[in-house]
Amino acid sequence: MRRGDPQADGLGSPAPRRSLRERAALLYVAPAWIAMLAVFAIPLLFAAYLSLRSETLTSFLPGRFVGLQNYRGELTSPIFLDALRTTLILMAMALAIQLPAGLGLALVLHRELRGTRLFRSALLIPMLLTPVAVGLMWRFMFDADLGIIGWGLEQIGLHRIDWLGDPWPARWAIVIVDSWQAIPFVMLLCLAGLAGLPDAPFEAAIVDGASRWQVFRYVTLPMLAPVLLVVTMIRVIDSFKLFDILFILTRGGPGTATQTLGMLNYNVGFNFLATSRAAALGIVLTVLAMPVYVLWVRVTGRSR
Amino acid sequence: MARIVLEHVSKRFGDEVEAVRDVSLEIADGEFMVLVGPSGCGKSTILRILAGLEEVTQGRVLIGERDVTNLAPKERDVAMVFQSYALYPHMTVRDNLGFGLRIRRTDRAEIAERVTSVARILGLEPLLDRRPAELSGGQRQRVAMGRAIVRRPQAFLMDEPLSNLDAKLRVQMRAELARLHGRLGTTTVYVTHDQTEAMTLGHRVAVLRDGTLQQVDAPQELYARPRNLFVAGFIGSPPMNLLRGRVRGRFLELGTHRLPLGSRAELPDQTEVVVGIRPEHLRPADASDDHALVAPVEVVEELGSEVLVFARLDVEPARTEGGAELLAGGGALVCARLPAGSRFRPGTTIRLALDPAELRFFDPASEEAIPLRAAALGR
Repeated sequence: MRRGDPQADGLGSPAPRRSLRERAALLYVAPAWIAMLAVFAIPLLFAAYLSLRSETLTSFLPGRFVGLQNYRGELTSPIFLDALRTTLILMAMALAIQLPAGLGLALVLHRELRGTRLFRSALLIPMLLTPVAVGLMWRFMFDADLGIIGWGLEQIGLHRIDWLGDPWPARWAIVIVDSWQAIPFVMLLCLAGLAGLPDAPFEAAIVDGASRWQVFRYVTLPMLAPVLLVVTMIRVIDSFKLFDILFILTRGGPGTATQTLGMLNYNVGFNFLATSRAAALGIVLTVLAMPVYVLWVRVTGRSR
Repeated sequence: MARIVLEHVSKRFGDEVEAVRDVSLEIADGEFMVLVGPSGCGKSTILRILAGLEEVTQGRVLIGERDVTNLAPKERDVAMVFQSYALYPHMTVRDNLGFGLRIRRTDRAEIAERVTSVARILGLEPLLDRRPAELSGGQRQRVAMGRAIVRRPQAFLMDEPLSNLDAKLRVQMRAELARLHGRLGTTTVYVTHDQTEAMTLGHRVAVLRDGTLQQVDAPQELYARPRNLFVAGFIGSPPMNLLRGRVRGRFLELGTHRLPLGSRAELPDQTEVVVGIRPEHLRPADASDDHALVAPVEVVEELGSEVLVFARLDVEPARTEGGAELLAGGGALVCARLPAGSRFRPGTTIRLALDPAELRFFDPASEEAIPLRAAALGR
């Protein structure tokens, strides 16, 4: 041991104290860890266990170990593939509307014109409502016979649409309601992102001769890209989870036109009471969303 | 290159704040004009008005004989260097440099050639493929300069471009800026609150206070003949000593001290004045000096090449905004700039003598300089 080496010299007494501090720290975080284990890890592990068995709620007999049979069955079933396709279609439709609309609104509200504050507060209301209430509200409005939307269409000389009874109108209805709630959220994050950007590069671009569109294309958009990426990932994850609005509006119908993976999972578990198959589907859903989570962690980790 | 003219320009923000008040200024083609003044004096606003980032409330702006008052920034053909550099963080140095040209749809080959040439001038060649985050402060500053130069604009507008650099780098970049201007000869308007930058870089310096022009002159002129108390207190470091006094016949009375006015005895008896003395014009009195300012030394600053001695004189100081404010305590803290090796200790007494020809006089009421025949003849 060299003399004067602060680390070497410090080894004598502080080390045990530090380990005491570490132990205390562990003690403090333990409740959070235990809670996380109880509500997250244990159910997940239990679901994984269930997914390897043949449990159903329609039988009193205990199930047996069936290996990956549930997974094989689900992953190859046309219903699963159809639900996956529906999930991706709804996700694409939702993103195509929500990102441009949210960003556009944020750009308008960022300019602090007269009345923007009131407008901004009003825009946040949909975000604060319970999805189930929102679903019910829109279900009335979409009603083919009595809904105000149909009435509105008639007033401008168009035909009523059976929003929730035809496949594509039903998909659009879900995307519209989801967007109505999600656009304010996208807007809020974009607005926060815009507020965090320095003014100078924009002014530099203007003095450099850039038009408004060029400033947006070459400066705003790239500088806002990290925020947009995060927003996109949040919305993708939300799309995987989309359930409540669907449940109220269509329950996956008409037929299976709006049956997403989440809806299918619910139907298998609670309508067909096939517990183990539902567990397998749940695990599949988690794995499918995993790459987005990984990307999310990387992006947020990098920006930090 | 272009001449820049501001004609009776005013700028109001809302109803209360008048950032620029009736400023008229003519900047010659190829001139390096420095706008200097304390925070909030309106210097940056004037620069932004020139760039087109702010609209004028009143007045006209001409760049290269063209009235640009109502023209958008891109139609003014000026380039701006920002205090924060304002580099595009997502672009490489190469793209940052070429952005203005790309926007103007300049030919690709020409962009490449001009970017390379500017990078060579500024020593940025090895950094062309890096992003701003990977550059040091000095390198970023050079990229910001390069971005302005590469466009070959009619004028450069620089908003405190060196203020984010450390002291050593600032001195280096200052020299580089002067060299660049010598080489390019582009009309430059340079905003700073650092008077050393103002004095060393500017062909002429415009001193601003509360949105109004105080004096526009060559640096030496500004230093030697400040037009008012504000300029006197603002230009020079340490600032000019400004003391209240009274003319008594052929003498100047400063508190209990009496100094002969010699050749400067032009003012009527009993005139109240503020007298300005540059620190370098005070020297330790010797046996031949009949009259001297006798004061206890409070602070001694050894700067290596010189010694600053601060002595407490029982004279009323003149209050100015420009930095001549004196520390708490009665009387005025007078600064003398003495040659290296001068030995004075706090607590001892110093006798300071001066040449009356170096005195500057100001009217305490109007704060304007009192012109004297002798003053007009030189220092």
